[in-house]
Amino acid sequence: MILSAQSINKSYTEAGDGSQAIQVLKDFSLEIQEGESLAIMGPSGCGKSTLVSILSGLDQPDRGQVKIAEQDLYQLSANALTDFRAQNIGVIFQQFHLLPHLKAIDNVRLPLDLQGDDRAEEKAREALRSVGLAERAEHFPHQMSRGECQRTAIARVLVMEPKIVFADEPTGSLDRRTADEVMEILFQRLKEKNIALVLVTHDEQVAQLCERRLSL
Amino acid sequence: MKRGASRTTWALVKLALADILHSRREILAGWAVLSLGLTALLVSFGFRESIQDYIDQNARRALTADVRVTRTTAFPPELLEAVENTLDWQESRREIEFLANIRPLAPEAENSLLVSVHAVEANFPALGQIELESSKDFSQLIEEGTVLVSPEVRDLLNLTPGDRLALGQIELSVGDSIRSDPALVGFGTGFAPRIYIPFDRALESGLIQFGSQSQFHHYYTLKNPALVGASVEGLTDLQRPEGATALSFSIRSADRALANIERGLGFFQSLLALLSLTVAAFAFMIGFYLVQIFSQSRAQHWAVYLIFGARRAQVQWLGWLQSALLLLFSWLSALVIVFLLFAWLREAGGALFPLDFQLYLGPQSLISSALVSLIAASLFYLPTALRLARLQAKSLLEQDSPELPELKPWSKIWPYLLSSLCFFILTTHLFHNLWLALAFAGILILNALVALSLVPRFFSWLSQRTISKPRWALSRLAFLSLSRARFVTTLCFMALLKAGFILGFIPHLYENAIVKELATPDPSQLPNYFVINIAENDTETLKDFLASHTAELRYLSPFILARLVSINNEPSDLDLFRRFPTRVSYRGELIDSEKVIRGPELPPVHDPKTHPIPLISVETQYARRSGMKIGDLLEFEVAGFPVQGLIANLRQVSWNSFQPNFFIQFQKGVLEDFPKTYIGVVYESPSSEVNLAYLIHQNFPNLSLINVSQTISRLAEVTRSLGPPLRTLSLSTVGSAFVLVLALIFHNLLQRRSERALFSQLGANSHKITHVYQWEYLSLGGLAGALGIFSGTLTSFWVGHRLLEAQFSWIPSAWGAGVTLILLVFVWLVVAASTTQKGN
Repeated sequence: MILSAQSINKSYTEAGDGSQAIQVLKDFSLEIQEGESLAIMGPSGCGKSTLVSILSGLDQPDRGQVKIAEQDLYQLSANALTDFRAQNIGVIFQQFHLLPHLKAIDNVRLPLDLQGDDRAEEKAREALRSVGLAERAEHFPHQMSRGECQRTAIARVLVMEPKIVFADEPTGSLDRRTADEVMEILFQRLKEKNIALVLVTHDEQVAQLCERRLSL
Repeated sequence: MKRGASRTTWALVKLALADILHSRREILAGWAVLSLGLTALLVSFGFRESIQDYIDQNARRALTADVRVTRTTAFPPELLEAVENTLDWQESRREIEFLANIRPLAPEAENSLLVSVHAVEANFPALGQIELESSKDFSQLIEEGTVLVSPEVRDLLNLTPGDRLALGQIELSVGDSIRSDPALVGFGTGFAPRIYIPFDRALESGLIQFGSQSQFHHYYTLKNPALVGASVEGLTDLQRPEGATALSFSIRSADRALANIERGLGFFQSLLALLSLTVAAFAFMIGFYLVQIFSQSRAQHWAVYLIFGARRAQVQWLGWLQSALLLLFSWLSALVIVFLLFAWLREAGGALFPLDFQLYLGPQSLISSALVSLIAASLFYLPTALRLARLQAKSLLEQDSPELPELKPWSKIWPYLLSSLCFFILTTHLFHNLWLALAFAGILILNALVALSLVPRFFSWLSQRTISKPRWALSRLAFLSLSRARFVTTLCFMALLKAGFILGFIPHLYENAIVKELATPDPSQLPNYFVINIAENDTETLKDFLASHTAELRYLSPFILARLVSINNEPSDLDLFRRFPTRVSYRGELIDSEKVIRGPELPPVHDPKTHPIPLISVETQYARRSGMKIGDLLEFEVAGFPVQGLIANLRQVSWNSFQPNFFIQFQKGVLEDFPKTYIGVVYESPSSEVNLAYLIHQNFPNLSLINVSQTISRLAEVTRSLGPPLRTLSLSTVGSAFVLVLALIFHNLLQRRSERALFSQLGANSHKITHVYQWEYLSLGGLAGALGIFSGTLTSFWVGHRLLEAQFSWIPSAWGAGVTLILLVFVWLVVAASTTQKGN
């Protein structure tokens, strides 16, 4: 098992008086096997992003336990968690969040550089090639299409060879055709490397690609 | 692991650089203003270090000893013994210095010259060496009884070795001219060029007498020069023991040898510091603001770094590094600018500085400015660092474009307070004066309050007034924008207000207090010569002699040396009275150049029945400096006798009339019997064709003549030479303020792209949009400039009138108006160019 979440609870206090707490997640549990793909669906505000934040180690639950590769995320110190996330967890966003001042190749090698990897360049070029963007390596994000940007973002995740990838509405900013292309590449590469996927989406067609679906 | 860590650090540096290079347009404004601010500070630091080095290196050399004591009459043996017992000295030298005229005795010679005569022994000086043109030995030529002249004397009188000169009642042969003289460190020859003669010949010249301008110096080198401070203290105790007024003498130590130059340069340094700090204050405020804007727009980048494995401390370091790199580039640019500026000043401004003065950027200036840059980089980044500490990587999942979290009010304020405190420390350091620094800070705060309270209200009022006027629709939009009191508006207003202030202040002060005051004397009213050292029995002969050469001796005034012992029976501690005797006179009526401004006029002759104590008149500035007022009882010692005087009035004197005037004047009937000489002025007929000065010296060798027109032209030259640097300084400050404002406008327009897009959506064409912004900045510039010029002119009136006692009149300044107009047109064009630029 790659991910195990047990009895996750999370609530927010309303901005302002802070007296009213809104329960977003209550006793939520989930298990994901290596290489498995799971689609999480649900209406806006149901807690999808909160769940992804907690499962990916970006936000702490009020109660409960999240284990990835048998490591309890919230038992780690802040720096250890950062290192663990960098090596085991990948995140893909709807808005790509590529850095505008970096070329595609530099965006992809960013996580490797931050880890001090001395084979960053080689690995980044390979990752770009694997998403079909070898010839766009020297282009800046504003010189690429939205689909290319998202493929670059996927390469940036794959380059670290994580054990699990969280994708938050990865096709939300793309047209149908581009979305299909991007998803095809993503699923293919994850399958090749036996990487698990947690996909948050509103798109039924995209959700169909996953082995399992979960509605919140 | 270690290798990985250094790779991570290098990766972060590359990320920071890539971001800066990619954001060139955003960075450009920050780089420009910070370079300017650091340039201003570097100029001030460099100038200050150059002054200090110059003083440190030259002070002992300039005095040619560690300590010098001086009297206007020869030192009594018991006083000299007391002085020498006080000092732990190694070597001593003596010198008599006096002003006199020399006259070449060659048959064809027609000129005479006022010189500063230095009568010395062969072993002079104690420290350093006087070098002669012919490489002969100074000591040997003095022993041979020759006169050694400065190059100026040699050139003016066309002298060569072997020529003979008359000095008072003696004749001397020219031995050589001087090539270098350690005592000439500073501004060189000064009022009268110097000559050296053998000590004993001075005594034979007949020019050393009571009441003349002679000074008797004794120089000492100490066994331990580091103890000069303690030695001065010992001599000060000796200066005026109770009841022993005859022991008075003045002291000069090596550490104060260049005090006058230090004061002069110090004044220039203070002015420079004021202008530099003004520029730096605005540059740093704008830089601070621009770094905030830049940093806050980086929230998304930092969240990405956090999510892809960067630790928070690494991201903080990267954010700080970007701020530091911006300051580093600005500092390097400033270094290049100042290096070139100083090189140019060394070439072009040589006459402004003392001889041997080197303007350069020393290690202290480099370290200080680097330190300021480093602290500024940290302070500029501090508010962002506090917000970044709370940034969550998950915000990338929650927001399309994450922002840095807001802070609590106190957390928002304290970085600004800390930055203000650091700038205040810098201000105090540069001014060397807490009160000046407080005044500077006060003016800045006042400036900010005016900008924050007046500007929004004024423009809000204007927008209300134009609400029903369709033709003013575009202007109204500009007024509405200005009424919002944004940070940029406030800063622009403050910078322009300061620029206007300087435009109004410096030219007015210079024109009124310096140029106009010196230009006041009507040349036809000025005497041709000022005559000193006229012996009592020569006065009538001199009058007759001058009358026979169509000249006239006027304002003949007795000149008596007195020592002020007490004021209102309290011994006077003022250094002014301790150093030298007071020169007093008496006359029955006021002359043209003086008027009583407080108290009644003195009765012409003292009448002991009506006033048992004789009445005196005191010059008003002298009274203010020495704390005297009407009704004070002054006690003097004149030639060993006590003389009292009661201050009856205060007089204002027009010193630039070149008439004989005195700080303290008695009624007639009090001082007549004391030993005295006379001073007076000579008016020559315009049609006279004789060389009067030469003839006077031929017939009255003991008299000293000062050529008034030569003196005035030298003073005017000095005054004129002050004009260009003052104008350059004020123009540089005004120019800098405009560069700051333009950078701010440029950046602000870049930030307001979405506002322009909205105007465009609402149907405004680019021409109309440009007009709104032009109106906005010109209204702001017009108001700030007008207020600034008005307040600057008003302040110059106050300073000139109250502090310098100059008659003030408003001088329309064509260049000031021209500069303002050109800069406003420039703003108009820059706004047009920035708003119509492609991609904006």
